[in-house]
Amino acid sequence: MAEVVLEKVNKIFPNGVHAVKDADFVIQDKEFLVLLGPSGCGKTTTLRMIAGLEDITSGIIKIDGKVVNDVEPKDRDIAMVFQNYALYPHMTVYDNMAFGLKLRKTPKDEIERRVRQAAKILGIEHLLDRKPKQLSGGQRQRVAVGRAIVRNPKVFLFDEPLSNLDAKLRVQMRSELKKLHQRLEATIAYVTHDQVEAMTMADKIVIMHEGLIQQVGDPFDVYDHPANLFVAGFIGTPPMNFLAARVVKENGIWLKGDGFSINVPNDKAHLLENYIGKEVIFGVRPEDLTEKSQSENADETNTITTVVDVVEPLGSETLLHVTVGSNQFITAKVSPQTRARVGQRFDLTVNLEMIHVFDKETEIAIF
Amino acid sequence: MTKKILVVLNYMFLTILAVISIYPIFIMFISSFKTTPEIFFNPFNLPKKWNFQNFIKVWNEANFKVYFLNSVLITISSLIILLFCASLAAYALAKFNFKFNNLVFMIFLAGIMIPIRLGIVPLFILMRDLNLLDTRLSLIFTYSASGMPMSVFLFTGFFKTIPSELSDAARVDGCNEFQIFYKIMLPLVRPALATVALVNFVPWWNDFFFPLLFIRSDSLKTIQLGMTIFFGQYMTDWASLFAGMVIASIPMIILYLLMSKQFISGLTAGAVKG
Repeated sequence: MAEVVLEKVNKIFPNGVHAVKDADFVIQDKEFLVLLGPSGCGKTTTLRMIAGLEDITSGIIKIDGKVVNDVEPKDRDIAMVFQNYALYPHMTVYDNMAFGLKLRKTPKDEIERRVRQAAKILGIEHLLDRKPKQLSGGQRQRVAVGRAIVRNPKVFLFDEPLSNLDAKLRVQMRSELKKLHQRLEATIAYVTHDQVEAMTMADKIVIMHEGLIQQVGDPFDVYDHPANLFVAGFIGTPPMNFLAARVVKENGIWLKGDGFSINVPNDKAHLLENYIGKEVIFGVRPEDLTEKSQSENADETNTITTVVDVVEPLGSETLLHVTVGSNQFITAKVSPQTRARVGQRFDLTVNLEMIHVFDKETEIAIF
Repeated sequence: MTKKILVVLNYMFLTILAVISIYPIFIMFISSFKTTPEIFFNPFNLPKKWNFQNFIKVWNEANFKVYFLNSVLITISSLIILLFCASLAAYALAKFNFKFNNLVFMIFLAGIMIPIRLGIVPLFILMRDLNLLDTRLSLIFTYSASGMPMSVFLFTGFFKTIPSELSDAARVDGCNEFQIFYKIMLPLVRPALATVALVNFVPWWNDFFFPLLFIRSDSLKTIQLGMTIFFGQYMTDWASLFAGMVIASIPMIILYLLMSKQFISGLTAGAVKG
């Protein structure tokens, strides 16, 4: 197993598209790193560059301390699992898994031993004689993973491996992949656009947008301390609420906007000294808004008055879509016992410890 | 009820078509066992006596052994060259991006539009200048080249349907480019290989025109050209001719039986989520 290092890696396609811009991160030995972003953000291109399936326009990629910029995929000692599995349709499951070992001239009994072992781990021993078209989606997925693990590579690369599975199977495979990671102690780079996958599986998340890395951090890091407006809006369901606000100094620092006025706690107030009188973006997650009557420390410094538009009971919680001021729409996640009724005025209390403020120009988080 | 009638009509239609196709072959087959006078007296009856005299005569005396071997040699060699070159060319056109990719493909397509027979004069001069007249190579080169445009067109279509993840997977698994081609791609276009082989084999095997143009020596004649010896100025040896035709059609029937199994569609099913 090994460490993967990307230093200022760029990819410009022949048609001029700058798909990856100065990608700079490290996948530690035995780390599960997730590349996360919306489609077209360059995450798959980054993975394919690590695999060697795409040339690098500039920069350096190192695997296990060795620069691999010009090394063929087959000599990088990596294995990859593709989104659509990419099993060889004319070969049996056994041959699919053994193919890479055969090409490397591994002794026959060794191949047999490794394929059987991998099949056992994945619970596909009974499928070894079948052809891919005789398998279900989940089984094909397992075979694709099996094909990767028999090779015992330095690095595993996963390209949205669960996106073709149905929701239930996805949850199951998610935990299986995580278990597999712990069992194999493998270095893994995993691409997904699904933030739940990223949050649940990753040791470290790299969030990309339009070819640029937005933030690198562990799941709690990116959730609690998003680096900018994009990360804040991308991570979390429902997404974070954003409201335009002005920083005002009168008896402390206040965020004032259309229909609300929030007092910034003292420990964070000094960060806004340079913004007094300026426009900023105020962000708060739906779960950091509570019904005023349920909150113990509600007062005029942390309460927003809203009008309820839609009530969405989800069982364990209820989502309220409400209007603040004239026409700003936000979402709150409240307890299912809420007394909110459509069309009524409704007071929400903000958890001041968890508020975020972003620079309006640069969209970078102030806190 | 109407559905049932439709099925019956369908089968009737197919049966009539089958009879129209098979009956002449049947006549050819039974005639090959008759003597020439018997063919004229009883053209549609079964032969009075099934005698293999015609076949023995044709095979041994009329030099059919040599003609047959020539035909086999020429068509098989042409096929091997065609399948090898056309599949490689199509693979490159379908799977690699290079500067004049589309232009090259268009040039191949243009070849479909021009009948090869329009080029007989330059072709003849070319073969003469290459000193290939009256050799088997003249036919092999002409056939394999004339089959290229259509075959490249067919193969390109097939290769394009194969998802590029398969070659990526093979590349990561440790294949070089040529291994990807013959270990992954070629097995997946087997239906195309069979189609191209069949589509070209039949006209080449039956071809009379180019052997007539290029071949003079008796020892190099193909089976179709060889058959002309039975047509005299004043009389035709019908019995031998039918026997010759039966011999000439056997390889095609065998090929059809072998290859039709290969027309398996959906071989790529299961490669990707469908």
